[in-house]
Amino acid sequence: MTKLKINNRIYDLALKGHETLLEVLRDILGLTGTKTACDEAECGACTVLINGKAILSCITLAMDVENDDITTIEGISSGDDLHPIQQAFLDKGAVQCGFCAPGFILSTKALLDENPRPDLDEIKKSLDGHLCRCGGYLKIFDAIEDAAKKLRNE
Amino acid sequence: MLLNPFTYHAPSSVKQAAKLYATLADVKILAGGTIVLNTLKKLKQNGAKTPENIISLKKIKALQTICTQKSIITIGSMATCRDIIHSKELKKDCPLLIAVAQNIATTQIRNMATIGGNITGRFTWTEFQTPLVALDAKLHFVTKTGKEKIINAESFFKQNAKTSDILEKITFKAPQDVCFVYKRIPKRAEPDIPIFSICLRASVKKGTFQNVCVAINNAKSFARKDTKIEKTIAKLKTNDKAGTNLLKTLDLSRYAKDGDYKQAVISSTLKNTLNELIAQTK
Repeated sequence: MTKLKINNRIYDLALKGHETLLEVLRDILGLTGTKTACDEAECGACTVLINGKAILSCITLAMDVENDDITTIEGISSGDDLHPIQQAFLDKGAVQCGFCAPGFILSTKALLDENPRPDLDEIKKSLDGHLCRCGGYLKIFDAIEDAAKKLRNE
Repeated sequence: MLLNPFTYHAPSSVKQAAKLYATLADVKILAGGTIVLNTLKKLKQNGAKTPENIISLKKIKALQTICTQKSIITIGSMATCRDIIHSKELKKDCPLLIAVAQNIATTQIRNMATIGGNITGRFTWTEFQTPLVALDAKLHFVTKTGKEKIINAESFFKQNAKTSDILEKITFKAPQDVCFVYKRIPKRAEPDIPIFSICLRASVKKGTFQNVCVAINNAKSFARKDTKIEKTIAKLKTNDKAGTNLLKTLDLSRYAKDGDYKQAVISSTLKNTLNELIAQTK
């Protein structure tokens, strides 16, 4: 059995070895907040956090992250309360079709956990692995600046 | 997309990995996964055969270390671009590699991709090639019989990066009294692979360039030193005209045809690289 620690919960899974983390999350565990889009490491929709760092679950073997801390979009809110980053995305209209949002939000979390006061260039650089087909980048940048302020209690 | 089934192996030491590599048939080594897993998907899409065995090096913690001992810098083959960017040792002893790693792909890829995969992935455009050649780095492999095999980076890339061994680590002397300038030309401003990259190493003494090394990667073949450019630079005076004088005598037709825009891009990059190195030494 393979032990995966996802959103602070341990899952014992009978994996064969060739499953990507994305497939395990969505197809086996039903954690469909993580999105499948390009499936070739181009778009960032499948981003999750491994030990706090943003990675692409479409090119990660699930067995490679056994015993690591895996965080998906389902794991960052507290019950019914959205995470401040999620709330900022809503407040600033940064979620349009919403398909790319989970990936953007998780990359933002990784950024703000490491650098609570990023400037715009640092925000853009940290999101360089994400594509938004709605083209709502400016509102996403606004949301991240807003979330950073909220997380700093400003 | 579901990958074709394979047997997954996760050794906990390089020796174990080498033993598996020697005994298993139809096997592929997996480092960060950013190249290999995408390749497996493409092969499946094209109906081509995929390996029956995958040896993942992810669980071998010893391969992730970066350290400096007695002026020798060691980078484990499984150190990621992120590890390199955040390495205190490299910040102090070799910031060149940090600058190179920062330009690679995207944040998520930098968090996953390893220097070992970058070197042994056998793509001509990969970015650590020119700096490692300019640093006179040595690549330490473990053969299938468990023995260490050391080859310098330049020779490795001259042999088209072919290997049937496992890359364990990269070592080089911490640079002292020399300057480095690395420049890359991507096709687009967004994260992209470079169509040309250069790493220039030199020191300046008494108005002349010394210890000159010019490593070039034109993305069509693996990186190598350009001795003609090195000799030309060694004859120049280190003044403001050095960059312009360099271009007067150079024949760049081996990198791009005359009249091709790439030749103009390459020549201006060479000039800027040299001028930047001079500026560093002032």
